[in-house]
Amino acid sequence: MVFTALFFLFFFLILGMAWFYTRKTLRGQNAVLLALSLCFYAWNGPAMLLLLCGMTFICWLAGRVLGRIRIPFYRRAILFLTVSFCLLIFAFWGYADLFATALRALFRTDFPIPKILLPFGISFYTLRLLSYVADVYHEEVQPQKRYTTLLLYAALFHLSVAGPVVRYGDICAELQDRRLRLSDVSAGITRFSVGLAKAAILANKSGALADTALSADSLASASSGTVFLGTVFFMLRIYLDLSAYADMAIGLGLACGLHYPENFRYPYCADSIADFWRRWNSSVSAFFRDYVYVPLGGNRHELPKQIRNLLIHFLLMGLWYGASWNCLFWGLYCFALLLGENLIPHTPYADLSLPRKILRRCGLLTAIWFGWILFRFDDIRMLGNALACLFFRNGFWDAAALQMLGTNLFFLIVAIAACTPILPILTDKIRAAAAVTPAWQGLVRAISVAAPAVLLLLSFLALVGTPTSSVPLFRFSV
Amino acid sequence: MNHEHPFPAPQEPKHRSSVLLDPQEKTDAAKVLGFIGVLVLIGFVGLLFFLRPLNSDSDGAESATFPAFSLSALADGSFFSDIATWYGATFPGRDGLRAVQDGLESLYGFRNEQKTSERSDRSAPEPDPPLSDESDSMESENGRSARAVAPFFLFLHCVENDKDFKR
Repeated sequence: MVFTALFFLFFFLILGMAWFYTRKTLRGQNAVLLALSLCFYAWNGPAMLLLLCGMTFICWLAGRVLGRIRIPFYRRAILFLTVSFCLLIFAFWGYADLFATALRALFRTDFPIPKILLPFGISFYTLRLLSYVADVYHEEVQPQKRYTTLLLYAALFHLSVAGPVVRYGDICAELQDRRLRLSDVSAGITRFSVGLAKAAILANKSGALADTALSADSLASASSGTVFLGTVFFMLRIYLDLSAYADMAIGLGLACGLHYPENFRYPYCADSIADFWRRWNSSVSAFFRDYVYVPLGGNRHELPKQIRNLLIHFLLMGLWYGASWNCLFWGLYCFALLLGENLIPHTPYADLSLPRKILRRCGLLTAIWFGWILFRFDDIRMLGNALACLFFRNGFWDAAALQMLGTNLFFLIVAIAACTPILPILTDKIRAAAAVTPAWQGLVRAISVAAPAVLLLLSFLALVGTPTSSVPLFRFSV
Repeated sequence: MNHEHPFPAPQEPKHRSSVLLDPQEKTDAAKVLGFIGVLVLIGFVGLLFFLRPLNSDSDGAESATFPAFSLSALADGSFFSDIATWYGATFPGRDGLRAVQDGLESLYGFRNEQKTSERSDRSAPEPDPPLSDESDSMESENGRSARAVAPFFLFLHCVENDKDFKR
């Protein structure tokens, strides 16, 4: 079950929220949240619930022991054993298939590979639990005494589909003491409806168009223009989908009195590769920075070791995004981009003239776009086909490209605008204008009241045509 | 002598009503109520099981049936995911709602007459695939072989006329 499934929206969410809001005490609300979260996980395979509960138990136990032991050797041993345990489980469930395929290819044998079902959300709760154990080890947070509270942190259904990867330290205080405020619930509903509309209306359509243009049959005869449009739609879709799920998670959290950090800050408006990674899925980037790159030595060593650390950081991140070779190559590509930016001397963005600023942003967007092409195709022949089509194998432009552009021109403009902060800036300006013009205040309030309900209706219309609960893009969570 | 009561009754907070009538809070409350109202209304319609269609006019196919229970299906999660599929695929009034959505999607860009008439005539028993006409126009427009781009148009036709293609 995902947030854009009709069953989730109009059954699970209604009953769940009704149950949640009728609890008077914090303990009751937490119990409801935990029950809903476990139901959410169980919905995608009840057997896998044991894995979540078991991993959480081991991490809870490790946290309790780390809280009592002071001898560094034992502390390190407990940290090592717990992290190894979590990573082995994650690697087995998430990457056994990839490794088995690689072994089969390496030794040229044909042993059967058993079908291993990836447990729902394992990538996210593994990162959350690892960060908890590491933070307890570094004494940045107090170990949690109650197993159920840690289980709630690991299982929170808001964060299960696509993050953000919230650190335990960020929400432990709110898990134990918070107040529900009308302003938070209202803001949460707005955020949730915006995310839902982004996923249901914009990301779904972008995905469908990208899939059409980049399908194997299409690539047999597609022009450069068609493939270009397809990859642009894919680039839009991957951002809109991921940021939409982050918006919905943040909105649901606010509606329950929990404040999650921002995960996407308009990454396609970044002015450098480093800036892109600060804006793109920042909770995941921060996790790999703080728990992989920095412990390896970060940039405190000489250049070769810095490069090694960066390489490991990006390879692991690429593998985390998807258990396939193309994701690994995508990680390598991102590493090469960042390394190039760090090594090649260049003028800071702020010192550039306007034309050069535009040029740099265009270059950056092109580099990111090319990365998404690598990310899109897990079949190397398909990738080769797409690149050949992109570089004029079947001509520069054709009627299909023209039709795709023409029939979706306004949609494309809106989707691109949704990747920029244009709407928030406009909203702020209108609010500021309304603050000094009383006649506008009523109108602004009316729009503010109606917007979430209208977005919900539009999203419902977009989703009702989808026969199954839509499966989100991310291969790493479902 | 002081006759004041040693334990005065707690006073009600003053201007309680004015606090409730704070404009921002009113806006927030209206927003929450509006959203929940739409959510509950659609949820209620979704519960009207007797309105759920047995087959889909726009798909021309039988709608999903409620999944049969089995322990293996329960264990691997397919039982629950099939319930979610059934819920979405047999939503009351789905065909009408899809027509509304198709109308909205026609605003996504420039549509030619032929596309519009095709979309409005969904109930036609065997709509001709637009390959021949559009391929002809392509030929004249671009000089490229119609056969070369025909598969793409077939897929474009699928995605615009059959939302099953989505994801």
